[in-house]
Amino acid sequence: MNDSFKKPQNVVVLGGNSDIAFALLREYSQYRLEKVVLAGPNQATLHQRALMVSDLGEIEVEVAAFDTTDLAQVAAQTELAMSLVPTVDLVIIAAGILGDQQSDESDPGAVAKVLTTNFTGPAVAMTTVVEKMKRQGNGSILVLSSVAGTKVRRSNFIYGSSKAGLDAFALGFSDALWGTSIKVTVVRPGFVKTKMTESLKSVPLSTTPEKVAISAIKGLEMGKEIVWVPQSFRTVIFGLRHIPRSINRKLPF
Amino acid sequence: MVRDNTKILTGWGRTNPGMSSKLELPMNSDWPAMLKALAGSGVVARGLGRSYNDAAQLSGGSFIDTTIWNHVLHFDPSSGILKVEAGASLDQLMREFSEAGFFVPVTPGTRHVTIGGAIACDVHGKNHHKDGSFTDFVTCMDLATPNGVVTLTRDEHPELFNATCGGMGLTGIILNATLRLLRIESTYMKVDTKRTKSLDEVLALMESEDDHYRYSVAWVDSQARGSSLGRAVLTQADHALLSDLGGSHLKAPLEFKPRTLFSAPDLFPSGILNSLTIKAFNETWYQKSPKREIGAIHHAASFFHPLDVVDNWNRIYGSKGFVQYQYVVPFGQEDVVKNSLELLSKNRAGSFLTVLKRFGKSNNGLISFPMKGWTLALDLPVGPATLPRLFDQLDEMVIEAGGRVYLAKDGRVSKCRLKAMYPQLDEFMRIVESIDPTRILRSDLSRRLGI
Repeated sequence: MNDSFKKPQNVVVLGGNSDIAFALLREYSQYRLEKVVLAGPNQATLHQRALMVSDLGEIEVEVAAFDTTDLAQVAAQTELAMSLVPTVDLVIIAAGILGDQQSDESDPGAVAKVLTTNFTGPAVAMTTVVEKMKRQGNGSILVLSSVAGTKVRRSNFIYGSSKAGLDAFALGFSDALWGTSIKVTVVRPGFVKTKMTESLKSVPLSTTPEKVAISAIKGLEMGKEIVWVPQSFRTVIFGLRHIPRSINRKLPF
Repeated sequence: MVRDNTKILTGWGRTNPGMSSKLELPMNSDWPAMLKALAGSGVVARGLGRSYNDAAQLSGGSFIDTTIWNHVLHFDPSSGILKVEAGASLDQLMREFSEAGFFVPVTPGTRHVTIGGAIACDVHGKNHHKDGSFTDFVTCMDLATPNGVVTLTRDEHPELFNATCGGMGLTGIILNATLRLLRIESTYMKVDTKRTKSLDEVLALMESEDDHYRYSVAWVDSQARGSSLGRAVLTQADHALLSDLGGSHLKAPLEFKPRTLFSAPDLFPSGILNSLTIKAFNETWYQKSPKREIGAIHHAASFFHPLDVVDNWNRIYGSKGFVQYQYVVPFGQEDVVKNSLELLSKNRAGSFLTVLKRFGKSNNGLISFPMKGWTLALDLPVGPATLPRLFDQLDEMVIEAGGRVYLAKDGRVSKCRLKAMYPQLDEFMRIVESIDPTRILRSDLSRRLGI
């Protein structure tokens, strides 16, 4: 159950090896966190991550299979992961890959993989989560989107468009669930220094998983649907949306 | 006829919404069959929803609306013994019985609570130091359990009786109760008000004078610091006798027809009650109170239930809601009261209404809240990120002192701290599991606390 401060007892992470999800769990571990399910495609890395999570306190951790590219299985896997906790208080949708824009652009299979991993798979999973939460009468869903999805740029439009899709889908669900006790919070971080981005060089306004976690939790507790990290991206993206396409395609970042 | 529709429920603090199906069931239902049919998703009784958090809701399950059971079954005017259905409210009883010269024996800060809720939470009032809590006046009740309806008294099924008093509705559905009303000469109160400059002063005053009054409560300025820490306005009162009244009060001395002035609209943004406005409110309240006023005559409704003048007053805290926190610590642990006020003031956590009172002795309710000592109630708007840990710190202080927090107001205590606070919790659980082994009767509170 969630407490009065919306601190969860049971959390399911879809994309259980995410650095941001781990930072979220570390924050929640200071409160009422009791049980965590880490669901992801690679059981070996998940088990390592599970050890890190159980080191955070008296927290029971289970791992579960979850592969967003396996569209035939993803709904059933989501259902199974959620069945491992007594109540699904919070689901963190954190599955995602960055891909390699330059080489993926000419590789239809790679494009399919990024879009399925980041958008189609999570969207299917989220639908399953919402159905479960409707049955249990409440719950929170935290969706890790990206600033890259709010203004898709030439330099990473495959990843960007996948997050744009997920972002729009999640907000659509938020609208659909308005007036119920199921809440959706979409988190839009900028460049986050994580294992996913370690091959890239850092850019201005870059942030850390810890900062994303703190902002995301604050936003969720305040009932916000959209959380920008850092907040200044909201203004930056507002500006970028108004530049002409002729300039947009030449943006150096 | 069973009607079933989904409602979004929260407690009075509006913090933790969940969807449950509403059931309106006749009292003479086939309870074993009915409860067994609900076993999968569970069921909880809900009256007027005044408990502050998740005690009267069951997300994904059902709730039985008890407010349709509001009939008076029997009343003996010679003894004041009343048998009434569990969904009747204290408001209703006050309106119905004051003309005959009777008042409810215990009333909390709102009269919009049902008899069933008052028993399940074993509510207390400003007279606890003299009279005890609500269930001390209950002699008998009918409880629907998965095994059928059981009539509970202190002699028949004493274990289940003691588990049900203050048992948060987890032992069964309370159908009706027999209780003793208090005889009064008027619905007016003779009130003494004393303003104190510090916490020590109000503690001393309550210790020396409380026994002279049936009712006593201190409102504490949570925002005062330094030497003014804990400055308070103490009100002590008794039911006014006819000989205390004069003039217009004598025209209708037993009238009880309070009206609500207006209903708060649901459009307050969270944050209207912030540290500045709370400080201003506390300052004003303190300053406007008389330094010393003896024998003032006030109507019972304004004395007991000042907030009931506004319907839905909980909305002023905005959509994020608020958290009430009430603890009791034994006498001799006055430092906890002082330290908790200091902790709040150090963290700039403004409590809008802070109430201090002395409890008399506890009863046999296994997880009933009141026990002999000091009780402090706080209410704070949800918002500041430091609040959850601040309450955890308070919990630790309370446990250290041998005290506990009030489940009817709780929305956040941890499972292990709860066990430390309620030594008879294991005994309570044993009884609950013997009467309802599959735990058909449950609530969001019971699931959150693992009870």
